[in-house]
Amino acid sequence: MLSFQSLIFLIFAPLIASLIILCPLFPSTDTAVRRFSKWFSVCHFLYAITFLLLFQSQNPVLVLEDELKLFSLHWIDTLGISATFSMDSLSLALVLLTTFIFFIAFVMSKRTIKKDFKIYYSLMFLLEMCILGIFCAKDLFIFFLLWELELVPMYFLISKWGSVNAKASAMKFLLYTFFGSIFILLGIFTIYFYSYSISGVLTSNMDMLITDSNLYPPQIIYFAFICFLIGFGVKLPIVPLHTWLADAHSDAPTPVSIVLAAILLKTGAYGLLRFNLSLFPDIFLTLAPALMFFAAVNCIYASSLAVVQKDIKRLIAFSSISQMGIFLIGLFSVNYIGLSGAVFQLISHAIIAAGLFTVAGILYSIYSTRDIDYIHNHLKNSPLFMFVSIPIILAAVGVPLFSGFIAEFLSFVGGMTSDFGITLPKILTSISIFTIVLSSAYILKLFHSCFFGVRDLNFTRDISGHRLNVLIIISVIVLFFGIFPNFLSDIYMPFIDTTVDMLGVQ
Amino acid sequence: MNFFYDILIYNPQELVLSFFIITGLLLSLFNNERLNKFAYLFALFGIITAILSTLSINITTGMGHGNSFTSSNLFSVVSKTLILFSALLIIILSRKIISEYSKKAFEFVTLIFSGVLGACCLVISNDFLTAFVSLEMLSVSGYLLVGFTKTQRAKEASIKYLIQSCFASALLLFGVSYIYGLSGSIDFYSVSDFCFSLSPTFFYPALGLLTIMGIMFKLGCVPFTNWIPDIYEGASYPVGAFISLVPKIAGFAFLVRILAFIFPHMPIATLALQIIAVISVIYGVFGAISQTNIKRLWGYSSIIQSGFILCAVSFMTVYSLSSVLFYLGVYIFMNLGVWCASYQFNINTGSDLIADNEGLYKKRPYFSIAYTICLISLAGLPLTAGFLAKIYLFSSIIKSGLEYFSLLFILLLLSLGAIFAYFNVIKNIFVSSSKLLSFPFKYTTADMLLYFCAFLTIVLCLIPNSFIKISQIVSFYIN
Repeated sequence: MLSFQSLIFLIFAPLIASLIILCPLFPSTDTAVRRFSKWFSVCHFLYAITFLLLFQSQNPVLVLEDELKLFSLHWIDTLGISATFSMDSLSLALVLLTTFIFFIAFVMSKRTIKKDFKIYYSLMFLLEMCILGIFCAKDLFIFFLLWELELVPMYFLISKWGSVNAKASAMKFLLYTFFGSIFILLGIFTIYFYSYSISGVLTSNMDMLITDSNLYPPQIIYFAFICFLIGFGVKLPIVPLHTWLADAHSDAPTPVSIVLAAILLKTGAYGLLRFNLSLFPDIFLTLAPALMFFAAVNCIYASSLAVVQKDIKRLIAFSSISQMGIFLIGLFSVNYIGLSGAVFQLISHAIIAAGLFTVAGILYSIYSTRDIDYIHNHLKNSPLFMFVSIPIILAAVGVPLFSGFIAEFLSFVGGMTSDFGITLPKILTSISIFTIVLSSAYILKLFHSCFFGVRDLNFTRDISGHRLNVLIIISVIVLFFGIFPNFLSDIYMPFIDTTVDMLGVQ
Repeated sequence: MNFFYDILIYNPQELVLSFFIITGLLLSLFNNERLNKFAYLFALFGIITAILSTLSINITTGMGHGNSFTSSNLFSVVSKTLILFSALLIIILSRKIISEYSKKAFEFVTLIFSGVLGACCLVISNDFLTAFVSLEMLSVSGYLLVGFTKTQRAKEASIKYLIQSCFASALLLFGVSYIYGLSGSIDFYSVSDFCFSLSPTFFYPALGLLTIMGIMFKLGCVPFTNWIPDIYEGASYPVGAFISLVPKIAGFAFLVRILAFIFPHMPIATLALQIIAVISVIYGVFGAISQTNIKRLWGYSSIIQSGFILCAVSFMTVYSLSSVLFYLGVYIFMNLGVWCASYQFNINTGSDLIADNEGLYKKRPYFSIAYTICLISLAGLPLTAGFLAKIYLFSSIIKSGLEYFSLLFILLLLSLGAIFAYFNVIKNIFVSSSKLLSFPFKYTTADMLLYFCAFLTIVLCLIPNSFIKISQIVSFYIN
């Protein structure tokens, strides 16, 4: 580990940026704040890359640990709570993703955000800090603190800069996700105090907690598991708990929609991987075949809803839910291929969703409407726009050579090879495969309205500048990970290896 | 002589306060305009002296000592310090009202002081007589303070307060008289001994509950909730802040004291207090959701917070009491913060309505951020001390037994409603509107106090370690 690499600094650098922007001396013009944010996020991304190099050059199963101490004090001594953070390969992959997506979001804020620049960018940085903290938290209560803290900037980002209905949607988002947090808190309390009653040590460090299911009465450990499942299921979202998502996504401004779909949903997925899978492996294996049902419902129900949407942002939002269904299939198959496909899907979907929302944002800025019936662009009016967005559209459909295909393929193969002794999970997986058909239906509907509408000879609506650059970057990444998936999967593979070892499955 | 010496050694705050009350009354007789200008400084000096006199208590040897009327322990000293500290902040807040009513400035200061004295005496009382007298002292100064501005609303609120409070006091007295009749004593120790010797009969717990009901009035819990919003609405802002803080802290400290004596013989109290607490929170949440007047909202908010605290009090373990103490400490700042902000808003625009806050962010961004921090803290979201205090409080419920999950779940669901109510205000603050741009916003002490409270709410969340440690140590010394 090099001397300048500090995990705490990696997580809390956005907070520093946020405070710098909020400082009264900082200029309040759009350009100044945005350029600062953009270059800061570039530097932050490069700083995160140095961690990748560290993991690659030294030891891939490395786990970095660090503790935040204010005035050299632990956070709360007597309750065994300390602000400990750790980074393994899964955290590393998600941290890299987060820093990258925030860079995209900052670039896309140009001309989308039209007022109160200082507070907008500082809230975005605060949000980034929370999400990085969630991906690295080692302590249950620090995790929960950051999990709740993330709601506050998100509420303001949606309600203040969103569209007409944004206030109601933001409140819905806040109440729904807090409802999920209630269950997470119950789960945290259960294992925190039960582990204390077994070991006599009050601690909330994930490594020191005792979650061995043999030491617990079954009802208590199942209770904790289901609490976490519901809590993270709201964020992911799993279908009966999904209704906040479409409103929040469609009413948020474009950069915030990008962050919501690309990263915020992944915190729920991360919770499932880190809590449900790693803390309660036995119960996870027992319940996984039954939970596969939810995965199938997610896939089919959400993509059917997406097909009938008129609002492009809602369409993409429902497509996100169905894509998370594919993640769930990989996760609940609980084998090597399925798990690696699930994590691949997280990252691939994040980049694709960022791309799709960028396209939607550009269309909105041209037509000032999100209604698919009123958007009728023609490819000859905007050839460049079409050329750079085709890879994103194809990746969203899941065409080979693009990253979406790899993720779907691995997840479905995982589901089909799942070994639970019963055939139900395989039947459910084969039903879910039809989501690919539905996804091509809704994505092509979007594509059609984008580029095969009425041609207006006097009017060209092509893109240039920052929007073009963003779409080029995303397209290249989607194509690159589709052709060389190893570059991505090598980053998080150590996590899959250790998990599979721990579970004792194939 | 020995008696006086005892008071000097163990309860110097009360002595200092009494001295300043008498001096204040004498000074108010002169009714001199030049003299009245010093009322604010006089009040500050008095309360700071009282706080500093706490330092003269020898913590190592003086604890646990008591004559028959009063007894001090570390818990009572800390609760008295909290009371005095919140009184200090309220006096700073009421600088404007003191200079506005300069003819009655000393009267106002003396009333605040006598209220604080009543609260302090309540905390250290060792028999029901002292407790009753100090409770009345607290209440009487409360009636007068509420009616201080003499508007129609204030007079109505004052009378309402008087009548309702008398009813609650009568209940308390009724319970106490039965306890005296049965045990032949009003001393807490003797009553506790008597309860120990007695086999638990049906009416004994009922009498204990009757006594507790009297205290519920001060806390603003069910069944005595309906006075709170009306009286907060009628009172001026500093007085409202005073009523929402001082009687509440004193009431909780006294409740803990009584329960510490009676509780071991009265297991039914846990259930009764929990039912009271949950109904209070339900009442508060449903009242708060549809509120349009900001003072009434703070009223319902104080009912909600009381309910949360009462739930933890009902367990009477060291862990739960330390969480109560921490919560009360945090509650001072977050509650006072929102009172300051709405007071400052009222001074400049003359409005009490939540809807009128629209566009506040555009007019005063930093003020709005501080206001929002206090509101978020009351709602119990991070990165504020309210979040930490709430988590600590809720963890104490689970710590007492996994069977209390349903209770915790109800409370958490209700806090969802509370979040909605508080974010209603936040939503209005951040609405883009240029309605407020024409109003001049003058800086007052309320401004400064708001920033101070918001700052402390954040700091208490970032560095809570030593405060939680202190609260845990203090909770060991309940008896």
